[in-house]
Amino acid sequence: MKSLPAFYRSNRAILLAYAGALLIFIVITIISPGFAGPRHIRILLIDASVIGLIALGQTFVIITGGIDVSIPWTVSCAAIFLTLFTGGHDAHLWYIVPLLLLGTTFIGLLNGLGIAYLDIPPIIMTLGMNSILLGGMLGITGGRPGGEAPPFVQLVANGNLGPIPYIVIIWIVLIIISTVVLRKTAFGRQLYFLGSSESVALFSGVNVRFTKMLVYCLSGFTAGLGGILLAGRIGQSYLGMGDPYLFQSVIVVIIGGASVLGGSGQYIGTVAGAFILTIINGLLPVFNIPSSAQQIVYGFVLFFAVLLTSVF
Amino acid sequence: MKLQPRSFIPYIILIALIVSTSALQPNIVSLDWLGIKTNTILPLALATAGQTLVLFTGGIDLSIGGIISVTNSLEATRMSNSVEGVVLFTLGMLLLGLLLGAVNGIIIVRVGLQPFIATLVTWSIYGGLALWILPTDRGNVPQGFIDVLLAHPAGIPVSLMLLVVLGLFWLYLKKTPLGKSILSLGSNAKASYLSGINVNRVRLTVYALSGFFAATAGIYRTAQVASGSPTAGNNFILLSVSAAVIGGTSLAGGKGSIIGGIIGVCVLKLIGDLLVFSGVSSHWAALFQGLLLIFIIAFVSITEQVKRRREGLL
Repeated sequence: MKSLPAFYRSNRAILLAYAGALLIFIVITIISPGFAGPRHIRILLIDASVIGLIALGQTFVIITGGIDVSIPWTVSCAAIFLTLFTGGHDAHLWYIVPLLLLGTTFIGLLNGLGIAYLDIPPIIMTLGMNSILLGGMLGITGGRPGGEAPPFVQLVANGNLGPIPYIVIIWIVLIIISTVVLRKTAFGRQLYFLGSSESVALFSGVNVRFTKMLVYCLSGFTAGLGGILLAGRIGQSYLGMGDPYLFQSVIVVIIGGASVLGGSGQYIGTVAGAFILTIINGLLPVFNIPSSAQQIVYGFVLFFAVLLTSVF
Repeated sequence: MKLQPRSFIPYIILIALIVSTSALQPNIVSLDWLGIKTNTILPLALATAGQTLVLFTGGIDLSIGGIISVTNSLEATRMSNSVEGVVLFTLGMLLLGLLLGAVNGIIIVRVGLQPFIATLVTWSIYGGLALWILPTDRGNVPQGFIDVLLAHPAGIPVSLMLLVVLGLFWLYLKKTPLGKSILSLGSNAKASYLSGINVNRVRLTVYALSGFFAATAGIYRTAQVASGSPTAGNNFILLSVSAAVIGGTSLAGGKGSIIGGIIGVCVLKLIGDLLVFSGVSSHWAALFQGLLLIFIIAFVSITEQVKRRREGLL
């Protein structure tokens, strides 16, 4: 068992993120009393889960020093195909959802192959992949997609099991799994090696290329899962529904204390980042900030988050 | 200077594309056709010129998406109809581009963020600004402004003249101390520093120039489309990198040319035309653009891996 000061030192950025989340939440509750009502908190939790799930893979990718900007259209792809294949019915859901997840994992695999085995810079590979998915979806749907999400997916994304929303339960399970993977397994430690120094990782026996490839597979998988649940949350799919997650998925990881240089970060930090971003998103209408300005706010938040994580 | 066989590849592809275009559509390749082509090519060629300079230094500029959108949106909605108004406003846009680009440079040089994260930040901010200026696609562009930029005095389109000017600019820049330091920075930043080059100033200049070129692209697009769009620039990010790479610019820095980038833009446009001609819906365009980028970079990367392995064996 580590002593308390040691625990503080090694988790300073994450603790700060949680303190920040709490502080923002308290301030807003004072300014706008309805904000902390049980119904609104429930909505905030669900929205944080969607962002958090989509950013799970991004956390692993950023820990290895990479970046995945193909997340927006991987999300849209999963959501649109879900509504397209199921036709809004539950009947074939039991095999369509696994197939979709397999499909988005395959997208990640292609990213991983290009980045790990062909040495294509992550930003270029995933930017290209995003464009491929965008063009593919526009071509397949003829620019007019849409359709309803199956009732069961809507239930999972919006319904409750007892007092807790289903989606939050899914999120908690994945938080526990990824925290254990990152902290307690050899694979987790290899990711940090890889992010701090590729040559050190190589000499300490890490299969650098294979490990790198795996994190992009994971990112494809969680983006797909997030996309399916997002379609359920909104109740339908539309082109470009994943676009906000390009910036959001990076922002929450960085707010959570990961360095864009790689080698540091925890998924539990990203969870705090997801809370902060959800609160900020909920705040914009409170202050009458137009949705166009959202992007400007994101830019500044990302900038200061990167600055802070490089200081702490 | 040593001529490498690889530097001819883009030209060979371009000639092959022109030949196949004229084979598929006889009589289409003419001076009028050239005029129409150069009009559509110019904005991307300008953006690619800036991106190429940034790639030379081993960086990347994602924010051109935002800068093109901002200048296009402003130029299409806020310009008065008088001659002085148009001229002054357009000069102001060029200055704005230079400034927005310089902000990238300052964040990268002074704050020390990596180029892709710094320009991701500013892409988000500039893109938001564009949406704020102009929420949906529309515009009220003075006709005189359009007429001048789309004119063809003595049969030669203005856009072609500007392309030639861009090429000449590169040939001139290459000879200047600044151009030489930009190229050497990419091949070896440490050696450049040790040989007395002000690395930070060169970096900053490169991003400022990229912003300037993005502004010129936004301005010309306003005349070409006669409208403004708050998301017009986003397409340019991927395409400018693709065009630069097709033209022989290395993502690792230090290699390439703006003229190669222009050839790359021509290749991209002709491939797009061929797809449209063969009946592929324009919806698929982004798919082919992404595939092309990845294939070319994969090709370059594989040839380099093979070369390295061969050198390792020898």
